[in-house]
Amino acid sequence: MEEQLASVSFQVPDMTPALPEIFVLTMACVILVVDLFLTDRNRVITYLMSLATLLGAAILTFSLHTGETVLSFDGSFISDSMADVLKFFIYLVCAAVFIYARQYLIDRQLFKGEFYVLGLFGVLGMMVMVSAHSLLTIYLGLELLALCLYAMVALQRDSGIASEAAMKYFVLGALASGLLLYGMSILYGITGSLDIGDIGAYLAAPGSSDNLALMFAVAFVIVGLAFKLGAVPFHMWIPDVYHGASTPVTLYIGSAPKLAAFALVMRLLVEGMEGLHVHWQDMLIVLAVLSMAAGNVIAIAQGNLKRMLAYSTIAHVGYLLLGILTGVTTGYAASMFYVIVYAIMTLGGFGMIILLSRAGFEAENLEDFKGLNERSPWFAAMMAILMFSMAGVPPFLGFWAKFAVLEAVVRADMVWLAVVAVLFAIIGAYYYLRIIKLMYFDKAEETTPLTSGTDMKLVMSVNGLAVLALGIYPSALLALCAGAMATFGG
Amino acid sequence: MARDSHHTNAVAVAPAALLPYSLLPGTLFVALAYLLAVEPLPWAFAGSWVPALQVDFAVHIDGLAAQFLLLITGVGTLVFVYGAGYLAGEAKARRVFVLLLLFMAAMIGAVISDNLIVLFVFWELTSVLSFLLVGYHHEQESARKSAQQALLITGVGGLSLLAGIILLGEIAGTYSIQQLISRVPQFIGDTRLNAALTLIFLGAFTKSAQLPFHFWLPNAMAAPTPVSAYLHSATMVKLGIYLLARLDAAFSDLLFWEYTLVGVGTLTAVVAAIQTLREGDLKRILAWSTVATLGTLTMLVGLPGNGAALAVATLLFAHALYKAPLFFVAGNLDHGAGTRAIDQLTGMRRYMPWTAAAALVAALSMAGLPLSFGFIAKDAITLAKAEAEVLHLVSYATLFVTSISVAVAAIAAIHVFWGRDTVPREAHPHEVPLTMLLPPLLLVALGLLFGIAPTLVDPMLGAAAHAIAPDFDAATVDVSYDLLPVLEATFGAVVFGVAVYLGWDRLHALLDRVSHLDRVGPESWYWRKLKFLPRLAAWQTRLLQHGLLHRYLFTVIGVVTIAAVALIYAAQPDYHWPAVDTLSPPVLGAALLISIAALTTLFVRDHLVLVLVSGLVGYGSAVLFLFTGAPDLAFTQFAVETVFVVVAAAVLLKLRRMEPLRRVTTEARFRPLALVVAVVFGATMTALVLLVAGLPFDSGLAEFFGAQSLPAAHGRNVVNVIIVDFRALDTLGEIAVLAFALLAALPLLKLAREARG
Repeated sequence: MEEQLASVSFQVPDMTPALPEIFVLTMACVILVVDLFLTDRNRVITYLMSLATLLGAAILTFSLHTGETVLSFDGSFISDSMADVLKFFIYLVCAAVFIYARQYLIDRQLFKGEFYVLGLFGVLGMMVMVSAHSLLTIYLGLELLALCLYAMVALQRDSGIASEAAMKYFVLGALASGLLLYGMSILYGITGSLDIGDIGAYLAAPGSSDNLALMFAVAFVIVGLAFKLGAVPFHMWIPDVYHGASTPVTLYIGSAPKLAAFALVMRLLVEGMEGLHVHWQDMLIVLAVLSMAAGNVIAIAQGNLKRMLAYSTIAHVGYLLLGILTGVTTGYAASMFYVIVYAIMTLGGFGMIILLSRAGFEAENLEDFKGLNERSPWFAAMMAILMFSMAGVPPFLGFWAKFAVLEAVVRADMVWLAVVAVLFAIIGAYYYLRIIKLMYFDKAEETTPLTSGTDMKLVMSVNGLAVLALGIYPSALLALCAGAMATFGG
Repeated sequence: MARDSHHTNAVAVAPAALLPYSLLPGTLFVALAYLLAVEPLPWAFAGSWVPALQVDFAVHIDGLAAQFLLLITGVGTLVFVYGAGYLAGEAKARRVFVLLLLFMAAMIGAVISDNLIVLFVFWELTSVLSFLLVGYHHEQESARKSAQQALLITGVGGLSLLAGIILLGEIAGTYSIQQLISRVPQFIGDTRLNAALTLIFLGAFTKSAQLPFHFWLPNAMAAPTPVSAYLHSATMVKLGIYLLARLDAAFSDLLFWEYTLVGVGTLTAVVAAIQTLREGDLKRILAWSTVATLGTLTMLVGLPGNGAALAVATLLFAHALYKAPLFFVAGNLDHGAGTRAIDQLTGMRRYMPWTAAAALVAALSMAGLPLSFGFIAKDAITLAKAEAEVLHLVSYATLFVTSISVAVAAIAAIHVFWGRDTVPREAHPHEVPLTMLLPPLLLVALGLLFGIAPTLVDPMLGAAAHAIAPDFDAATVDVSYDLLPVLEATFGAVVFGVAVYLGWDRLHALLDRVSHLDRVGPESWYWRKLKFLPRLAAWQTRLLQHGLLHRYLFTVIGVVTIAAVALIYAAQPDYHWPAVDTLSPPVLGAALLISIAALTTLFVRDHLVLVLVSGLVGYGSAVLFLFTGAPDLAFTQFAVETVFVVVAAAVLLKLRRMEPLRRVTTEARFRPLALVVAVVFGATMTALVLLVAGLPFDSGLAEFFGAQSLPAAHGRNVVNVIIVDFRALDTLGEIAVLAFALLAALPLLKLAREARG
């Protein structure tokens, strides 16, 4: 007894791997307080400080990056290549969201500190999710992010549709979190550990997976993950929330959290439960096929671009799952590539809605894109690039993402699944290309010139061109993902 | 059909400003021809692109690729020259030229790359660019629809092609075409091969307008004429043929390959030939005859034997030499006479003599009459069929198709230019400018030259045939042939063709009467599907996205319940359920209190009462804690619940005073299905809790804190010690949060004070 007690002694954990998180937390608190004492006239300080925070975090993450896996806080925090890469893209995507959002928020008297502070706390939640290595930290990060998102959806207090969306999101999200927690607790009960590494080691032992309770744990965990990702049949919140929230919030919800959700899946299913791969593979196949089918088909009926992109998200989640369910390193790398590509494309898609919006006018209907080519050939071209990319047309970035996951699936000898995926990609191509037709071939109903600021236009252009440039030269990003996934799977 | 207002456009572009665009393809063509003369084929370069996905930018140029390159750059140059005249004066002319240049680059990329994925990338690029080019006259509804149709059909085919390529790559272990061909014996027996080839066929057939996807090509004639001549005759639509010819070296021995290609190709040719007779627009007539030629090419690729390889190369070349000029002629008529309808066009030679000359020579070749290069092609086809011993049915089909070609050639040349001029005209037709005359004249002159002296192109055709069939000896090509069978075939075709030409109007009327057959054709199927999808999608939306929260919850919980029940059923658990202790009365009471309070919430509508009832659930838990050995926790719970109820009730009362709360208007409805799901879900959860409770409990932490509480932290209350000592840092964090909350409340309080004062 004495020796056992002696081993449980308090040690100051190594804080260095978590410096970016600590920095973001501190800055978010500082901004929260500073913002209280700002007037609307100098609110831009909040905006600039938020961007500076993301920049600082990026510098910290970059300078701390070693490529090695470091555990800290008694094994509940991990810093590895995947975490660093995903965090880097989270900063990047969120910075773009903040920039896209500024003019929109100003035009609607929503340019308050809350958006940015909640955004930063959400970033912190995502960072914790990405670096979590214990069931507790995973849940901590997840809830931190989720609470920020609920509040952000409700930010537009006077809008009935936003409040309704927030309410639905909250109730469904709480239910999903509860189920996830339930699965986690069963997992803990069986394996006797919260540590992902220990759980993985326990389940890797032969014979350890013959356990009914464990099946339930897997099922509940997957339900929770599916909800966070937005896979059918746990997707209902996505269209309603995307539609109800103000566009910058939709942009935020739709982009970076998916990166974190991917990390969540990797940590829980792959690092923690790879021993149960045969069990979760079947569940993921069902989710993937349903998502690709429902997402792509229903998107066709949408006249609202935000809802259409919501269903497109659901469909993309289906493709994203394809790589993961193969259960091999190359498949994981393909999925990671897919999720990063998805985040970049979604950013551009919703960014374009903001770009076309102005005070008193939301450019969220498909009709609003009619004849965009006449109004602004440059941004019509950017949107065309984004839509072609989402449809998976080469040489744009989205093509390589689809190609990578399809190849992984075929290599895993699931040809039928690849064929199903292609079939729904074909249906999906229809609604993306319809937007291009609207922009190029239809008469403009709106003739007002675009009013957005220069920063917005610049980032939008970079966004669109990146989809093209990375499509022509995808090797670097692919290599990055392959490197980040090298420690996962066998 | 008339071209829109090109004389009146404000931002006119002079032909001279557009001509320099043709320098690029022209230079490429000359350089290529020179290199081909001095450097022996094949040329190969290796380059890397996306090594992670085995996609290398490997270039392999053999005879087939070289022939395509010559066509792409050669015909390309003339299309650019022609376009400079045709599009002069149009505001968007430059855009068309830039798109055409990009298109040419994509075509070149597609035919030189050895990697199937790279080929696919360029293949899709050509589809995208053609979409933008076909939709050029987008003021017209028909042009928009056609552009969308062309893109959807070739896009669908493209994605199938991708799946096929990935599968083929997986089977062969490589995406390199050359390696694939050399590895054929290793994987020819693979059972997945037919699936892969089917997917690839879908890609090639959509691109090259084969049955049942043939209808997009004539509809794409909404494009400006230079675009049609280039994309829809000389280059893009041949890409499918190119891919099939490329892979022929690997799969020509497969019966599946041979039967599919011969069958589909022949059927396409016949159907297209019949469709030709139904058209009245010269350009659409030409388009259908292009589809017929593409069908013949597909059939030839499928035929076994070296003669077939040579026939493919020859027909490819001949078609480019006569069909492109005919498209130019159609464009000239459109330009000079303002129409392309053949019943409006007769006796045009008086107004457009040079165009008439070009049309006549091109038509000779199309009809396959001696001294033209079309004759040489016909000869090659006849020999190929003799060698491959094709079915009689295929022979008759070919005869029928060639006869229709003769008739079409006669329509395009004799009827239009030499027919009796009986149509009253408003405007006087005029000859077109030089830029629009030179390209067709040059092409037909070349056709004539090669028709008279076919040995000039022997090396080129031989090299191409060698690339299609590797055991074909390029040196043996001698395109002076066995004349008797081809003369016989030509004679038959000409007789039959002339008969069709003379009876054209009557055939036209006859076929109009059976037009209701269109309703079951693939095109009507396409339109119905196009309408069906949105309806299906709308129905799905209503089904799944009703916006009702309780139904969403129902779905989530229902799915989870089904999964859980399925798991239990599948696993057939032989679990030892933990022995249930007899509950002590206080615990039983607490459980009852919780249950009753929870159930009551279902029937209470008043918010205030709801808060009170939910407080009861908390009190129940507190009682439970009290009697299961956690009195301090119970007291905390009591305190928290009380505070919660008081504060929540106070806020509600205040709100009610500010504005009377709306009564809940929706009546609670009894939903039997929901009840079932709720009960099953609850039962499953209970079973799960019991299952988990039956697992051994790790009491390590409890023992540690129990043992260390007094010696390490000098406290007897373990919970307190944990909070203030063992987890002191966490507690500090919580206090910090409280401080922040206060700080945030400060401005609020200030605001309230200002409002009051």
